[in-house]
Amino acid sequence: MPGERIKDSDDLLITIKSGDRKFLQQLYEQYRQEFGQWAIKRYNIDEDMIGEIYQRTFIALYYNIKNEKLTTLNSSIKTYLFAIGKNQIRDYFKSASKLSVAGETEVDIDQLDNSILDMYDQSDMKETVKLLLEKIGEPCKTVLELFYFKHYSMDSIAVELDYKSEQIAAKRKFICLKQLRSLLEEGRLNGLHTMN
Amino acid sequence: MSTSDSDNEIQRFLEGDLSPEELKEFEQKLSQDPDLAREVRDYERLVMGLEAAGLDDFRSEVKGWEAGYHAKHGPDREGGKDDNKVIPITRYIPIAAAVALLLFAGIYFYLNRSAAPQTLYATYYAPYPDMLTDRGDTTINKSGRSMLLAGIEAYNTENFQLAIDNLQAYLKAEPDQKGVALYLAISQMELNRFEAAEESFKTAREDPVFRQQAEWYEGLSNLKAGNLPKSKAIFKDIAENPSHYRQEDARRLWNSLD
Repeated sequence: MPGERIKDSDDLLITIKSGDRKFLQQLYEQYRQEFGQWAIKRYNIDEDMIGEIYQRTFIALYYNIKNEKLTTLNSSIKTYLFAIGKNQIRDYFKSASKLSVAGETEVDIDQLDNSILDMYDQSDMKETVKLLLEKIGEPCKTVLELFYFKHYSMDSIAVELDYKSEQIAAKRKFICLKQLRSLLEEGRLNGLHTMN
Repeated sequence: MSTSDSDNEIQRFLEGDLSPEELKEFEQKLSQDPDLAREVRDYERLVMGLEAAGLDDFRSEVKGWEAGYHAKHGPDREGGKDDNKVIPITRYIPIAAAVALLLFAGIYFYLNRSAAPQTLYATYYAPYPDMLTDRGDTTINKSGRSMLLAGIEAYNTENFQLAIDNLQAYLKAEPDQKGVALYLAISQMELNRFEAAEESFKTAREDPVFRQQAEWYEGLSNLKAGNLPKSKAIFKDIAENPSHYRQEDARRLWNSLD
C-alpha cells in the first residue's frame, strides 16, 4: 500500500506532488473503503454521495500538496484526508439540508486550504483554453498538457521530450504560452465570442 | 531592454521567481506600460485557464478510479468484497476464539435474558456529531444564525439547557430548518424531557437528510425513558430497513430487548 510503503513523510509528499498517476490511484483506493464505511457509520451519508464526496476530498488533498499548502506531515496522510472529508461532509449536509450557516469551512489541521479549488473553478478562460489547445499544434500541446494537466515537473518534461535541460523545457513552455496568447489575439481580431 | 530580456522577466514573474526588489521594479513597469500590463494579464488568465482545464482533466481521471473501485469492491454498505484475498491459517485462531467467546456470551445472555435498558442505552448512545457549524467562525452576525451557533456550541460542550433555549429560539425564527430539531431533541433527551424530545424528533424526521438519525435517537430516547414497547417497535423498523445506517445496531439492540 502506498501510504504505508513510503515510511518517510517527506518522500510521501514528494511522490504525491510528482503527480504519478499510478501511485495516486493506489493511494485513492487505499483509503476508499474505510472512508465509505466511516462516512456511513458516523454521518449516515447517502451511499450514492460517498463516491462523489471522496473524489472531492482526494482532489482537495492532492491540490493542497501540489500547490504547497501542505508541505510537512504532522500526522498520517489518512488523518489529513479524513479531516478534509469531514469538511466536505459538512458542506454536503449544509447544501442537502439547505441550512444557511454562512462562513468559510474550516479544517482541523491548520495548513490545509479547503477552498483551494475555487479559484480554478472561477476561471473564465477554461473553455477558451481548451479550444486553443486544439489549435496550437505540437510540441506545444504536449508541453502544456504535461505541465498543466499531468503536473509533470520541468525536469520530467525535459526527459520525456528529450530536451537537454529543465531550463530549456521551461523556456519552451513560455514560448508555448506566447503562442497560445497569439491564438487568443487572433480570436479577438476575428471577433470570436469565447476569446474575450 | 531586448524582447528576450523582457520575456525572461515576464516568465520569472509568472513563475514567482522575482526577488522582492525585482518584483517592485516590475510592478512599477506594469503601472507605466499599458501594453506590457495587458500582455501579462493575458498570460495570467491563460495560466489560470490551463490550471482550470487541468483540474477538469484530473477530475475525470479520479472519476474513472472511483468507477474502477466500484467494479472491484461493490457497494460501501456491504463493506466491499475481496475475492482474491488469501487468509493465512493463523488468522483463524482469533476468529475461533471470537466464536467461542460469542457462544459463551450467547449462553450467558440466554440465561440472563434481556439486558437492562439503561445498560443498553449507555452502550449504544453517543451524541450525533455537529454537522451544522464551523468552529471558530466569527463572520456570522445575523441573529438567527447566532442563535443556531450558540445552540450548537452549547450542544458540543454538553450545556444542554443552553442548547435547548437557543435551538428552540432558532427554530421559532426558522421553522423550515427542521434538521436542527435533531440536536434539540438529543439535548432534551439528555435532560430526560422525553415528551418534548418526542415532538422534536417528529420535526427532525421531516428533514430527509436527518430522518434516519432522528429515528435512531428516538428509539434510544424511548429506551432511556423505559418505554420498551415503543423503543422495540422503532428498533424493529430500523432493523428491517436494509438502507438504514444503523440497521445492524438496531438488530442487535432489538434482539437484546426481546
